[in-house]
Amino acid sequence: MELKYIILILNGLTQSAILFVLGSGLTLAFGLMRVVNLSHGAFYMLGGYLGWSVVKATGNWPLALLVGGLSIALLGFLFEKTMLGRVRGNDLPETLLTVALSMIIADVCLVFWARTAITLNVPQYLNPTITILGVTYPGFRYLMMVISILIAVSLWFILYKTNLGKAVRAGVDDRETVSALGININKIYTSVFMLSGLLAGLAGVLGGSYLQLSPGGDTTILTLSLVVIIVGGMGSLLGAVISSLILGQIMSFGLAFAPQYSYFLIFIPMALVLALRPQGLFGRQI
Amino acid sequence: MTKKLYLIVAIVLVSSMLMSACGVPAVAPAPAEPVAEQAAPAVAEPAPAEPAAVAEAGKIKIGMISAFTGLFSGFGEMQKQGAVLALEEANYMAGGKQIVLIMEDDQLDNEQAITKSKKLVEQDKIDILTGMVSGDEGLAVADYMKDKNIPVIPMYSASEDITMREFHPMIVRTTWTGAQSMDVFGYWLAKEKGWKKIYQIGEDYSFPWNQSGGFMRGFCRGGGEEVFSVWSPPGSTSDFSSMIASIPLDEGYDAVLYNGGGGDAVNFVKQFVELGYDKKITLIGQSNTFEKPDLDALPVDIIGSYSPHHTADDLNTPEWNAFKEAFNKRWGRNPSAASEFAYSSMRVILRAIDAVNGDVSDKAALVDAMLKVDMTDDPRGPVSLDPTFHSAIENVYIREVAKAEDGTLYNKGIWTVKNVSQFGPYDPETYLKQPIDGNTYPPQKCSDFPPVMLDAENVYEFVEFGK
Repeated sequence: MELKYIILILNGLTQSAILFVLGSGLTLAFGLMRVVNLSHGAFYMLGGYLGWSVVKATGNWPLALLVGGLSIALLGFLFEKTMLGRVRGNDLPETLLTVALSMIIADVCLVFWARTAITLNVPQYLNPTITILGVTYPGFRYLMMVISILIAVSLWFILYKTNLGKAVRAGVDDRETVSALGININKIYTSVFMLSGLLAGLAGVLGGSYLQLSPGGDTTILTLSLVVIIVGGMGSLLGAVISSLILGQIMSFGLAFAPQYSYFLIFIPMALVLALRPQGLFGRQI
Repeated sequence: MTKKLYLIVAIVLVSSMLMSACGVPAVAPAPAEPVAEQAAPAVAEPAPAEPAAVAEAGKIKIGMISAFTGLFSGFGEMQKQGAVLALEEANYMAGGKQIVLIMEDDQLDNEQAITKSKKLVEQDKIDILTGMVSGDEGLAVADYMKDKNIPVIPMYSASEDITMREFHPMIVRTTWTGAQSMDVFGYWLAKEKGWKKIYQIGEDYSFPWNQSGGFMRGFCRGGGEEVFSVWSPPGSTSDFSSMIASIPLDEGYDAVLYNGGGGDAVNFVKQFVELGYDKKITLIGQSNTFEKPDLDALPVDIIGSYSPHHTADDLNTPEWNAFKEAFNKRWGRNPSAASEFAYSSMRVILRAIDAVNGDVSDKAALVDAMLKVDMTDDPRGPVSLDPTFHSAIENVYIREVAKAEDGTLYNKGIWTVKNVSQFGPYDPETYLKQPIDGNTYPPQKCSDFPPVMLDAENVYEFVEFGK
């Protein structure tokens, strides 16, 4: 019986891993740029599909992760430079632009990739069946947890230990002053948006390997990542960590004990947070 | 800033509501697929311009609604390929008239399905409506079409009530109902394999309910004791590992029945294997669980898993082989049940149009002609149509997942039961007196079944596959 609960907790942690990689990218872009990137789900999907093609062509999964992440970072770069940058500061055009991009990406995916559910093949050496103290669990899921911890640590390092991070944090507090100090805020915006794209692309490859990619899947992913950042507090890295940990366990235990309502259960923390602490658990008053 | 927050919250709520609408996973504001309008090779002019000028123009318009995107996009795609193949073989001609096929994507959303039906009926002035993948989709469309005097030919949509309690005379379903194959399957497992207890995990909507209903009736009639059931809404999660971890291994269940298909089945089966459960308990599926094309994404560990359907990949009849070859030639892949059903339905439509010499103005006569179409040469085996409920009487195959020489998985037939109707072995009157299948009916314990359901007059005869 305890065995079951250990697996449930591990499942929750796997969910948290993917939610965190998704949510951190979105929250980062929002914290600095105040842009809710509604194409985040489409970025995820495109990253996953590109990764799938790489795996299919070369069989090299780590390469797929790299390609999936970097190509979305590049897409983020181009999108920010050529389009998003032009309407900076106008809430509605910014939001609509990201919606438009998400639709375009989703349609492009329909043209180039299968319309059925597809999964990235994870090579056996990355997915051994690991048995610890009698608990059998797929090794790839442990790997996902490790990758997301590495990502969390790197993000923390970038934000708190580098000049870029200092500028980003300063930009979050007061954009005008930062630019007055001679820091090129536009460059920082672009870097952060790229980073956000990178995370979405990585999440796509991870998610496409652990679950699957299917046409239309982008909206589910977008909803989940929005729930993560609303609960955690928009712009807060710690918030993304904590809220993905909470939501992961809710999803896992919900499925085990109330599968019929599991999907709605994840909106309960969101409703509670919005009612009691609208800025999110770790968000600042905005 | 608060404004923006509200905007986001609104978006989240709207999209989540869309996704949970009516228990079917709508794929929310997914990209609307550009209307795939497949007209005859040369003619491709847009439809709306001509006002009901069908007769003069000498064209017959067939509308096809399906889920080309979303959780069941695999079935939608297969369906489209089957239908188009039948049309191409006829050169888009029937009864001396040109046939125009107008396809619409409903994204597996009931509201969308009705909106698209409305568009096809009012704007395109179609003569016949076909398509539909999921059970809910079919029920919604059939209900909307009730008073439109246009024949509706559901292809893969299998909720039994379309041709039972919600039946109306313009419906002709030449394919199947959810319970039809599963009743045979459940009966076989209990009677022939001697299984007593099944643990079922199902998608919570009409088609799996109907599959479960058939399964439970057959299983209990065959001597089973219990079908314990857990339900979760389709598409609501893609991580089933917590549900899998909750399967009790020490309570004497003979097998786990996964009652779901499409993307959900891919995830479920993969995770079942990854968590090592394939070595602990037997996995069986409903009709769609191991169907192509999703079967290609499943791990080889499931070889030997049983499921029932009206097709089997290794059917070896001249009709099936010819169909398989033509399908392969046109689309570069092997056909699935969904493509066969679409091909066969479209052929019935075309043959009926032939029979009325292209005059489709009298819809009742057209429906009559469909019921009289000779379907003994159907690729999946001989089919006849029940004149009262316009539903199919056909073979059911029990299949197991096997590995072909080229390493791909396929469904290998093992047993055949011939001439199964949508009422299974029951007499229609008794059957229709029972409640509608749902997630609480039939009861999980066979001892709670009404005795009349445990004792049918007809008994299935299992014939070795291929004989």
